Amino acid sequence: MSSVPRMKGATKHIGISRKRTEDPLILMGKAKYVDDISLPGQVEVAFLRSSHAHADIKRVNLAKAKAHPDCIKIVTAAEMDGGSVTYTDHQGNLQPVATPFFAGEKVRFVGEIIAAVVAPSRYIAEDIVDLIEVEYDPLPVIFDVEEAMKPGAELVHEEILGNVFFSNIFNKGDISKAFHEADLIVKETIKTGRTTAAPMETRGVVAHWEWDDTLTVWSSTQMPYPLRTNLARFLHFPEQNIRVIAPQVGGGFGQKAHLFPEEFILPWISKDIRKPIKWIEDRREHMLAAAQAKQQTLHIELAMKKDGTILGLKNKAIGDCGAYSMFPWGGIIEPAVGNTGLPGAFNFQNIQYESFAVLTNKMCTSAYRGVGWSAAVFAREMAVTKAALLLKIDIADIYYRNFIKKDEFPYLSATNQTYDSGDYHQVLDKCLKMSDYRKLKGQPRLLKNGKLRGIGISFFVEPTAWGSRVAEESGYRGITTHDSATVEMDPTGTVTVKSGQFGHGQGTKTTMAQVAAETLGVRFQDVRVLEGDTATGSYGMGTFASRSAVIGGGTVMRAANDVRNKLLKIAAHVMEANAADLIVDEGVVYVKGSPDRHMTVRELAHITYFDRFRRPNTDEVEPILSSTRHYDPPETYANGSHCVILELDPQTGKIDITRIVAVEDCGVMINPQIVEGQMRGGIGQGIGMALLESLEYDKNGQLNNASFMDFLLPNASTLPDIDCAHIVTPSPLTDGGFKGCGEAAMLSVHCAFGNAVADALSVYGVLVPTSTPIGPQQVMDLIRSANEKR
Amino acid sequence: MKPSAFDYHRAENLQHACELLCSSGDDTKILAGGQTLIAMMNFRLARPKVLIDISNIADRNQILDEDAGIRIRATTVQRFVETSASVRQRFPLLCHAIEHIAHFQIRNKGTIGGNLVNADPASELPAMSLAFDAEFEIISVAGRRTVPADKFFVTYYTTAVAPDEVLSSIRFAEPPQNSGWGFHEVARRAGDYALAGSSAVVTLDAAGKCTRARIALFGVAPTPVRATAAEDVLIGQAYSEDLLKVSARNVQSVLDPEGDVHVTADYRRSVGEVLTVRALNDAFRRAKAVQ
Repeated sequence: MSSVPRMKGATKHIGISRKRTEDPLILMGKAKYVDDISLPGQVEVAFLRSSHAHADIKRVNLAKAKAHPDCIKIVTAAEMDGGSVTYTDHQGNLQPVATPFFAGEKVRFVGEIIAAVVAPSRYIAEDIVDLIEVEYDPLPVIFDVEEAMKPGAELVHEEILGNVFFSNIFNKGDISKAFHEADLIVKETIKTGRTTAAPMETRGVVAHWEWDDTLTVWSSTQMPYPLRTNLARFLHFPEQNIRVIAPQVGGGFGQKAHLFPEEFILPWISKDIRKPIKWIEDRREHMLAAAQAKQQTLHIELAMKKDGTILGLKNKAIGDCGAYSMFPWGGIIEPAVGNTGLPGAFNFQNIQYESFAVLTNKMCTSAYRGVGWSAAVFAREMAVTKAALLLKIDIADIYYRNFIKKDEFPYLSATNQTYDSGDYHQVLDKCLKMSDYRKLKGQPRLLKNGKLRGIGISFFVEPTAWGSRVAEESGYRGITTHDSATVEMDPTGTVTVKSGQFGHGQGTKTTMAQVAAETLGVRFQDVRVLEGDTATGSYGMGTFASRSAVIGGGTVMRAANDVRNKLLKIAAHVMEANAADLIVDEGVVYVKGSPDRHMTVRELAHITYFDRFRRPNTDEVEPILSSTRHYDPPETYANGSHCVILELDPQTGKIDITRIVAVEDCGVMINPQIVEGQMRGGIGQGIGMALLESLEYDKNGQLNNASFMDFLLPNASTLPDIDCAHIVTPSPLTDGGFKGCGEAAMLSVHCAFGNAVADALSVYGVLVPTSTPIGPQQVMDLIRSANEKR
Repeated sequence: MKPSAFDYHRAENLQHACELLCSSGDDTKILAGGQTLIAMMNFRLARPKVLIDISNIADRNQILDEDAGIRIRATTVQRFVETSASVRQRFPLLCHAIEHIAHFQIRNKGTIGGNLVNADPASELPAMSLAFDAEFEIISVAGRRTVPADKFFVTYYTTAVAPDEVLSSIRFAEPPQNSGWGFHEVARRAGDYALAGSSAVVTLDAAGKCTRARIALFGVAPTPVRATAAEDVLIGQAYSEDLLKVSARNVQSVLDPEGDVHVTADYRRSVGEVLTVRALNDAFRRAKAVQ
């Protein structure tokens, strides 16, 4: 215990950087992923996917494929009876766009499923896929959102006029007055690159229908319970007969918090052919047909006073949502949700935004760490960066001037998000100090090696604890979340937590055990957490959107508290003491003030279950130490700051990262090391979004970099030293004072990169990036634009 | 991403590989390190009917020290060359360039010959063959022939090696005494193919004047290119910043780049020139240091 780092104010278990109990299996290569599931008689699936972005399907000729001696089954839209999943919102102004399991008469993006081929192995299945002949009649491709919105544009879906399936307008304050009174108005058009979460483990499904009409589905998903319920809904299968297992999942990042056609097709085929069946997505399929993210065009306008006071903000966000609206988030998660995050830490109250979710002939965009906020805050920060450069005020000073002060909480933001707590100025102070920001800013940009040093800063406010309340404040009015946990004390006094949350990298098996041990007063090693299996868990929405620490922590804390109270009631009876005088500590119950009067939790649990002579009358206290509790928390908002120091080669546009500093305030930390893992992981993905990643669709809707050869993820050599630090402002609203920390850098660090690039290029004038990723071409284009201006 | 079915033969030696090539039809590929071919097959972009595996032949890794040069067996893995003390001493540029090929795990499998025959114009080794006046020894059942580096690369992914031939070895000529080298490339991440790259070898006389120069660029044309016009500018001249700029400007005549998802053709033109200045700078500095 003494070797485990403790945070300041740590209690027995909460705030301690315990090593993750998940890790031995993962590090030893013994963890079981979907592809490790292998059942007797199992067959495999390969999909025929559309090679056209937009085309009528004239004919699908299966004759040659079916003649293959190893062809077990081929399924197309006709066989699966036009099945689809539809996202329907609760606001009424979203036009539903059904996502079909199979493309029927028309394909709408490259990678859309036309047929599923079942064969003894994936190799043979791919051979058979090659034998299917599809006759396409190509249609004009809708590639650009602003073209798509023009009158007379080709339609992706005939019933969605103008290709816009959702739009909204929001106004608060007096925006025209703000812009009228402004000394400076900055207008920019920002285009954020299309990217993808690219988890190390791709998607994958194993489905097994058995003769007792039960269905077991293994899926690499973030949401096993919603998958179970929707399999029942959309496949018309009795839910009580479905068991969904998410085994070890190698990363999700929001991308696997969707229900994909493949997850419905495999179970349907398994029942149809009465065989266990497997599909493991390959990387090419993943690039083409797993949810993509972040592509928006944003027209941002910022109104500012000479002294750097922000008066107001206007934004028109157009999401390039692809061909369908993915279940359950829909394409609105980019433009509409993004807009709700526009104010960040700023205290301006005049705002006007518009959101447009637009259909194009590409794969759908939907949830990925940071969701639409990544694009919205980048647009805002590049406008603020430009204003700072034009007014010759350091952006850090603009932050100080405009940030919400710690005595202003609770604070209702310009977009009506209720920020509960924080100390933004203290977080910013710490980040600037750790990065030596002021000193570096005072030094020349041109270094001896001919490169330009850039220093960038950013700040974020992160909506966390994704329950009904924060979902509503983020643009999903009417969503109701169901999350629960069961805490059971076993007859030997050990504890089993059955959770509806499901960690796939977040370390919830560790953190939920810490919360249970803390609340119950038992040893950490006496708690085990079961999750990811609907047969052994407790209903929950899953792990995504920075929700598990707060919601999982809250459900476990509530249930554990019930069990603790019951145990103490029994202990009071057995020990002939007043329950209020009892203390539980590391598995031992003491009578306050009489330390020699004690019994172990183990003894008491045994008595409860098996010793009817010593336990209380069972009519008063049932002899079971178990509780299931639900928690739908109030909204709570985390915050943090990033500083990026980089060197930019002005002759090649190459950017080398020198150092990154990250300061985070996510309230009470259950496990600080896990929080730092989230901080570093988010920074890694943020670097990708800022500098490297872009799915490049051409005008024909073909994805030109559908492999890791040309779609560039950050690799080990890309990552710099990252220094992490924490400020702790407990949430006044949530159980335990926890806030989430999952999005973090994806709401911020890319802005610090944009800011740092602008700082490095300030030797040429005011040059602010207007697109992501900021690759060498973008840098050279910025420098050239300065030279042309001269 | 599973390959279509193929027949597999394991060659006992390169001569055996030639015989197998003769007997197994057009859709036959030589499998060396497999670092490109296997990926292409998994994408089904390559669908050879027959693979002839030469990765298990005896003495596959072989570097022979020859008079004024080295001969490297085509089957030698890149990492073997990179870690050879003798190569590092005599051809530091070659080692330095090989370090830029992908990642060491890939260089442990990828071969010198495989890289050269793959003829990716953005790869480092093809340019090295130009910088070191390399000669390619190619064999078939009919015999053997030698092709100089400037005749070896035809266009993208295409070389002088005929379907019934196998690249057997490559001879790199050692630059004269009093030579220095330079190598610069820009890649978006360490280990990626270069967006553009340039390498230089210059030889100086006692007065510091350039007597011989080699400038080879990669990633800027359908093949690696040697910039003889830029080299000629240097001959008889002593180092000056202007000289290097003028020389580098002359690389433009051999550049014929394309744009891609990363950068435009113009970017490659401009950066090819910039990197040539840098490579020449290093080459002159190193040549002076050995004087």
